Order: sequence, then C-alpha cells, then structure tokens
Amino acid sequence: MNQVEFDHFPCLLLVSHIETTHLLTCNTYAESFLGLQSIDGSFGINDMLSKASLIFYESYLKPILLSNGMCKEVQLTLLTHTGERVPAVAHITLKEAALYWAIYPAQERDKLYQELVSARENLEAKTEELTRLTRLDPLTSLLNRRALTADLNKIITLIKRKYVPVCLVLIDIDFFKPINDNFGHEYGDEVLIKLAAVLKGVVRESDLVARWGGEEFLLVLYNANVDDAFSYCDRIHEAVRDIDLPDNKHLTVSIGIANVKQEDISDSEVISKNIHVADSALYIAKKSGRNQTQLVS
Amino acid sequence: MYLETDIIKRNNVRFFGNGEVTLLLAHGFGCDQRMWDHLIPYLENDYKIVLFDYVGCGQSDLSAFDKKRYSKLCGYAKDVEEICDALELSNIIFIGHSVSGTIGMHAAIERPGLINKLIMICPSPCFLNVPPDYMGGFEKQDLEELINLMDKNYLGWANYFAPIVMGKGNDDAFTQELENSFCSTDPGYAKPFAKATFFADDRYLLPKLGTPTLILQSQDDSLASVEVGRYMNKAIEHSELIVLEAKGHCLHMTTPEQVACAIGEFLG
Repeated sequence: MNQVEFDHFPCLLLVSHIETTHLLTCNTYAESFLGLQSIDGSFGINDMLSKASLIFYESYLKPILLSNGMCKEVQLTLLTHTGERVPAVAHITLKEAALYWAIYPAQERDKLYQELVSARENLEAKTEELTRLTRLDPLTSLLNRRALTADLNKIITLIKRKYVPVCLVLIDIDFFKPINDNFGHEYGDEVLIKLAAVLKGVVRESDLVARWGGEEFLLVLYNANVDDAFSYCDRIHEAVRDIDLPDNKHLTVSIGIANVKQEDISDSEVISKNIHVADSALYIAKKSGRNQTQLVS
Repeated sequence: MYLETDIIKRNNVRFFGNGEVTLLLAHGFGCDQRMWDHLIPYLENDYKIVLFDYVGCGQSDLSAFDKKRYSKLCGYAKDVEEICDALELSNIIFIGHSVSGTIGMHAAIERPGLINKLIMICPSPCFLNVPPDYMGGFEKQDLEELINLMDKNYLGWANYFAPIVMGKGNDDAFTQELENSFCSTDPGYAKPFAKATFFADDRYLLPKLGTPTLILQSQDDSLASVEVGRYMNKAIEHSELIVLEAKGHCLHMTTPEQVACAIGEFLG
C-alpha cells in the first residue's frame, strides 16, 4: 500500500520513536487533525496527548509496550492544533524502536464510558453507605451486634495464628429502667447516646465498641490483658460519673470482663463462651452493689 | 498483625542473587516488580536482590488492601519496612522507581538503620505545580483527569481479566493474561495509589533525609524533569545527581545498562 492509500484511512496513523517520542511519519488525517505543516522532528507525542494521558502513557502503556510489544483499546485524550481535547481510542505496537499508533477519535464512545463510570461510582457509593448502615446501631452509631460478632470473628482468626491478649468487656447501665420510667424514653435514649460517646472516647482505634442490645454495650480490647482491661474500666466508671441525671444523681454502670485465653481460641464456640463469662462477671458486679467491674477467673 | 510468612506472600516477595549487599527494588505507580526484569541481569551476579509488589499491585494479596493505609505514601513505606523485618534485613540498598524514591525516603526517615543507601530512578517528591517556587509539572485537574482515564481504561480492559475471574481452563491463556495485566488499572487499588502518588507533596522530607542518596534522572522525562532532580539534589544533604544521556521515565527498562553502571559506581 502506498502513502496515498494510507491517507484515505479515516483515522490517525502515526509512527513515533519510543525513546525520543518524536513523530517519524503519519498520514494526512493525522496531519490535519494535529495541525502539522511538516514532520521536522520537533513534534513529539508529548505534544498530542493531554498531561493526564501522558502520565498514563509513561506509567502504564510504555512499560506494557516494552514488555509485551502491544497495547490494545487504550482510551486517551488527544490535543488538536486548536487546543481542543478529543477522547480517542488507540492500538499501539512496538517494532524495534518505533511505536505504531492507530488512533480513532471516539467522542460518543467516551460519553458512554463516562455514563458507565458515573453509574458504577453511584452504585459503589450506595453500596458503601448501605454496608455502613447495616453495621451500625441507628441510635448510638456504634457497631451493632452483628457487625461486632463479624469483626470479633476476624480477630479470633488472626490471634489463632499469632496470639495477642484480647479482653471482652460487657457494660450494663445501672437502674436504666427507672431512668426510662421516671424521665421518659427520649431521655433514656439521650443517656445511651452519651454513654456511647464516653465509650468511644476511652477505647483505641484497634478496639471494637458495640451496642450489644438494650442498655448493654460490649467492648473488645485488642492487645490488652486483664490489668489493662481493669484500667480501661476504671476510666469508664470515672467518665460515666460525669453524665448527670435530673434527680441530681450520676449515671453508673456495672461491668463484666472476660479475657480470651490462648488455650480456648481453637474452640469453635470461643466467642459465645467468653461472652457468657463476661455476662456472669457482670451478674456478680450487679449482685455486689453495682457501679463496679468484676472478673470471673 | 501479620506473620513473617504472611508478609512474604502478601507482597509477593522474591529473593535471589549473590553477594554481600542486599538491594531492595521497589516498583513505581502503574506496574509491578516485573518492571525490573530488564535491569536484574546486570545486578544479580554481584548483589542479593529482593523484589516485591506493593499491596494492591501485581500479584500481591489484594485481600490485604486497606483503603486508609494505602491512601498515603507512608502506608506503602510500611510495606517496605515490614518486608525488611520479615526477611530480617537492615542496612540495605533501596532502589525505587519514580514515586518509590519518595516511599524509600519515608522508610529511611521512619526507620534509621534500615536503609544504608537510597537510589532514586526518575523521582519526584511532588508532581504538582506549586508556584512560584516549584514546578512539579502537573495541575490538579490533570491528575483528576488521570483518575478518570484510569476508570475508563479499566472498563476497556475488563475483558482481559475475564479468564481469571471465570477460573480459566487453559494454563497458557492464564499466563498470557497475567503477562498482559502486569500494569493493572483496577480502580479499587490503582486509584488510591494514583492519588497518594500524584497529590503528595513530600518536599518537606528532603532536608530530613540523612541517608546517602543517588538521584538518577533522564534528560527528558515528562513526569520528572531535570529541574525536579536538581531541586532534590539541593535539598537532600548527602545526595548526588546524575542525569543520564537517555530519555523517558522508565530508564531501568529502556537503558538498563547505563542505570546498572551508575548504581555500581555509586555503591563502589
């Protein structure tokens, strides 16, 4: 095929040098598209690609071309001689030191891609929001029971491989029913929200905090032994005292601790057993006069 | 939270070669450790070589991808630190392409004693223009367009991944797919890396770096200009700048012999 015939193709056909990026030859379609008077070695592919396309070329296309010799269906943005930005699709092959480009302007196809990208982004954002909502307790925005159980399962899997001490801390508000009865359920809800804030303030990023149900909360303290757990609980008792009640009393909580022992982590029921242990400790705290932390050893 | 063996698997770590000195080769944004294939033949007889993929790239364990950690370059630097710890390496030579020069700088400052010497190939501590004093080469909207372009190209390439997703029947085809996809634009992992790379301004770290550093630039690089190299050379106390007689941003792929030669001279 001679040059005249190449010039009849309604697409940009060009050859560039892989290292210098200079244009070596092209068809008339490319010439008029790019506004080239003649090919004198001063025009390079840097001049015909948008800056973003250039990064894409250097980071993705060139390494692929150098390794595999070919890139197909690459979406790029071309710059015309009038400075217009035109979306285009390119096939590129490498032969010796020359890159052979077949480029098709593709405005309509780009609009479709943009719609697809937007649709996907929308779906991803919605999925993320829905996933987040299914994990949270709507009143306190703490993790709900299901999310905490799922996350705790992951922690157990992790510490099966390399043991790290973990403590479960079950917290129950003292005299919550009278609070609801005397000051109304809305006030009770406020107390739950305030306590949630206190718990969030006490724990570290690696810990889990959940509303376990009703007026019960569960903390999972990662890399914390029993002494650490007790000092956390002391801080909780102290911070909770700052939540005032309308009858001039202060809020108090009772707490039960369970430490997940290394010998128990292979047990398939390790989570429910330890929650049961924490629950028993909580029961003792309640029986012993409330406003305290207990551990069943 | 990871065991040593997990790190090796997580980052697809490979090690080989001879010699006393260990070179850790860190790929840049876009591709994976296979970028080093051209350079390795020049180094493996004299040095121990450690290759890896950052989490989210190449054949790393994608399930280990943590969006928050890998939205900042220090998260990628943590990969480097953890790999060295897992292999019980210290006093290594770190060779980083492009953004990995900056990642290596993070690791060297964070963990003194880990990196003995740094070699940066076509680095830039900041790709953005911050007028009037610094011209990284790009405006914010260029980088936003890049993110969009990556999205669109991933759509275009989606069929490349089909055999992997479908569980492949043909091993050759499977291998071929992996060959083709060594630069993957999967937006879930590549977009955070792109943002971490191109929106970073880590110039403030340059004066804090005490590690002897070799900066290798090319004469004509549309991503990291010679001016950027000079800026870094001035700001890093113990640094040496070499502008190779070569063009482009992938010197280790296009002119591996020259790069190996410069490395050899720098290491003595």
